[in-house]
Amino acid sequence: MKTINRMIPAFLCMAAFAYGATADDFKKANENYAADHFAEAAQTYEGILEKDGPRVAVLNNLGSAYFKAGDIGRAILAFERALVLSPRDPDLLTNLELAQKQAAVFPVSDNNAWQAFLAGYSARRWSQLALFAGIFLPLAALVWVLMPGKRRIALAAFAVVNLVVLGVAVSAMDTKSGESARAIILGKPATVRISPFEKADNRGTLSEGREVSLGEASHGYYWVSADNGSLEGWIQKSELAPVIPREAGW
Amino acid sequence: MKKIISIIWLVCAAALHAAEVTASLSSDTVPAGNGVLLTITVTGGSPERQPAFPEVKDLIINPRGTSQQMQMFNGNVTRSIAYTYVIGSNQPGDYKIPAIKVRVDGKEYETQPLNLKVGANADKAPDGMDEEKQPDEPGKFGHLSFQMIASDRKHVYPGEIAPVKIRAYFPADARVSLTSAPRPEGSAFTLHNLTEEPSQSSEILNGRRYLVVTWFGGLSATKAGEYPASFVLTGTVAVRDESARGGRSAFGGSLFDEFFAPMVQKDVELATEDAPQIEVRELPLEGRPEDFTGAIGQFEFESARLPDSLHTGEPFQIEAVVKGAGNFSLLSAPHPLPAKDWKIYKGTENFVPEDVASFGGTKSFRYNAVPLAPGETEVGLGFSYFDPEKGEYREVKSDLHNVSITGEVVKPAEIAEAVEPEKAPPEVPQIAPLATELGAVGSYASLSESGWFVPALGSCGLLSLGILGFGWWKQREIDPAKEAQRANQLATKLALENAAQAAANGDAVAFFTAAKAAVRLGIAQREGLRPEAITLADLDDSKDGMMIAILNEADRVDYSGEKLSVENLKAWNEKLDTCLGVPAAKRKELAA
Repeated sequence: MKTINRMIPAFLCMAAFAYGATADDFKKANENYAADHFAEAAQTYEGILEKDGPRVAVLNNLGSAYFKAGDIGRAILAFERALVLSPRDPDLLTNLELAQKQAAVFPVSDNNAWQAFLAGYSARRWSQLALFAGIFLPLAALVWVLMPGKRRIALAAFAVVNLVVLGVAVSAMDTKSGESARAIILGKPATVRISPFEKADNRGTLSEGREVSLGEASHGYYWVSADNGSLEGWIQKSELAPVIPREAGW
Repeated sequence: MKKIISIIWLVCAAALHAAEVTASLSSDTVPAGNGVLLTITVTGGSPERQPAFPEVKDLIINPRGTSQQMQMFNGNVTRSIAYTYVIGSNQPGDYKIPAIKVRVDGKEYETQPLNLKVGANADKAPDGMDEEKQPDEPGKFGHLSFQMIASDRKHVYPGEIAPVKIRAYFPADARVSLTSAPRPEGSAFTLHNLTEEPSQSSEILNGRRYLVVTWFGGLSATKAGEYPASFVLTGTVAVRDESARGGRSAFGGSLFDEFFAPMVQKDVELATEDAPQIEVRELPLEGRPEDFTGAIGQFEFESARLPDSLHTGEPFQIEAVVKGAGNFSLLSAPHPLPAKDWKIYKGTENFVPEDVASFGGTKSFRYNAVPLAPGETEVGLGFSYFDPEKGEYREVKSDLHNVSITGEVVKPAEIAEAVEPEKAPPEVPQIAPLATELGAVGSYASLSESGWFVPALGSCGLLSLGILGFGWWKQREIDPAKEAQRANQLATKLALENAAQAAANGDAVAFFTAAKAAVRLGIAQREGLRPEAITLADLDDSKDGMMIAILNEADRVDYSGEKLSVENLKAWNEKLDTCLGVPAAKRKELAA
């Protein structure tokens, strides 16, 4: 017990120190950005992300730094990654739209209100909601069994709402499952080949900032599909980056 | 057969038409070192041989291929043959491609002359990088070579950018996937401005063909001392396994052997062999000019622009362009001379590289300055740099310019804030301001990607069903109807036992009292009525004849007071059990 009591303050101190160091780096990167040193700022933001993991603020600033530095593909990638974490952030949406305009990338707008609603929250948030709804179900059942009389009607209404939330969350998770296949073109432009080899014939090119759907990987290439399958082929891994980073095999 | 005759006829018919020879360029301008497509099209005839190109100095022509096309329109057949060439030059200039002769069906034709403008090349290698330095025999999976500045200088200075060329040699038939760009080994050097898209070429070395990938960059030392300038490059290389070709080939030829030899893939880390030792020297303190800002290389003025007349305290704009080679990033704006008579403000600067390593180029400066002292004076601009070849500082001055400065002497403090140049409007669209709060660390991964998520959610569902099932079962336990049924069954059983007991004792009154109770309980259970509410009118003659008989006999004995024998009572008891559906075994037990 004593060991645990000693470990907790030590752990808290370490966490506070790490946060302080990250905050210093973040401040320094912002200063570099303000001094028009966009490349240095982007490098520092990348370092923070690599060290700590994704943060909406860091990804937003990283995208802004790349945007100012003229690397529109990486700017769009950073904004898209931030939007995975915070899909309704107005600043991010504005920045992404601006970067896409700059890159002449015009995404097809989805006017489906239901899909727009589902897209309004991150996959993680929907999965948390589904889990909470799932946990509430047995609790509601238990209260139903134990609670006598007319109060069961209110409980039944709550259980129905709970089931609806669970159904919506599962549907949203299903919709979001396609996010893992999204990737942004970084090449200027990226060459689409008919086979995963450097000397294979070109099938076309995709400009930076374009979104593609990833397929299988082979020999350092990814099978991609763009424009609803109108252009498909192999692109070298270095010429694109998945919106949700892949640790293994990347 | 008919088809073949038709084609021969069509070809013959096409040959009868007059031939036409044209030449066209895909573009009439091209940067030096690059090429454009030259297409010579022969229509309506069969060329007897390849077009003959007259020699043009410094112009490089490489054949790319031939294509044929046949068209049939209103029965007329036209055949055209297109010869394609890549044409370009390494020397900028205006080139004239003279008429090219083509002999078609025994007749000589000429194309029209073409003009090609070859412009300056921003992709060219830094000066001094043209000489090839080929490595020894590359290894099985490749080899990395490194070439530094053209001169034999073996020392550099911290902050100096020394252009380097790095070449990777891979077997021509290898499949190469690079996972990193070349990088220096150790911390003594850093690599700047490495070409993002290295050039690729094919070269023959010691009788073997290699794929050569070339990068250019600037090597910069970080600390004084003597260090090996070595680079590494990582990637995956797949080559054909020559050792697997042993034995007799089924095809009897090396071409097939090579084609069918298995590929061997390996993750490789190529490093420069025999890395040269580079001495990194400290910049000398002696002779360092006051305005030295760290520029190392060779620089000179290309232009400097100053006005003829000025007024003290009033800002004016100075424009200067410096050209040369070196670390332009540390070259600051040239200042007016003498420096004490001027106050200058930070302005804008723009560097235009002339090579891929951003080593050579021109840097233009534009800034505001304010004269502090009046008078007729000769004004020039100046800056300083360190020449690494000579190992000394150099001060550069532009040509002097006569300038008339009017007004009174002004102290710098009086104008410091007044003439701060306005910020130039941003050239790019405005994006949302930076976030200043770090925020919490998030996660891209959904909980559903965790292995426990689906089992946990499923367990919650099953648990809910289990709890509801348990509740239903408990509810069933306390159901009044079921409770009444169980009580009825118990009372019926008790009544039957009493009846059996009374029959055995020969007590007719007790027997029929118990019998009536048992019958009423039985009917009540069957009809869902209360036992005391059962009357003879509720019974159906056809179905319940035995029960009616028992009830009637009970009423008769009750009113008459007649005593029945034990055997008689047991017979009635048998009937009672039968009509209430008591199993035979149970009846025997009751009788006993």
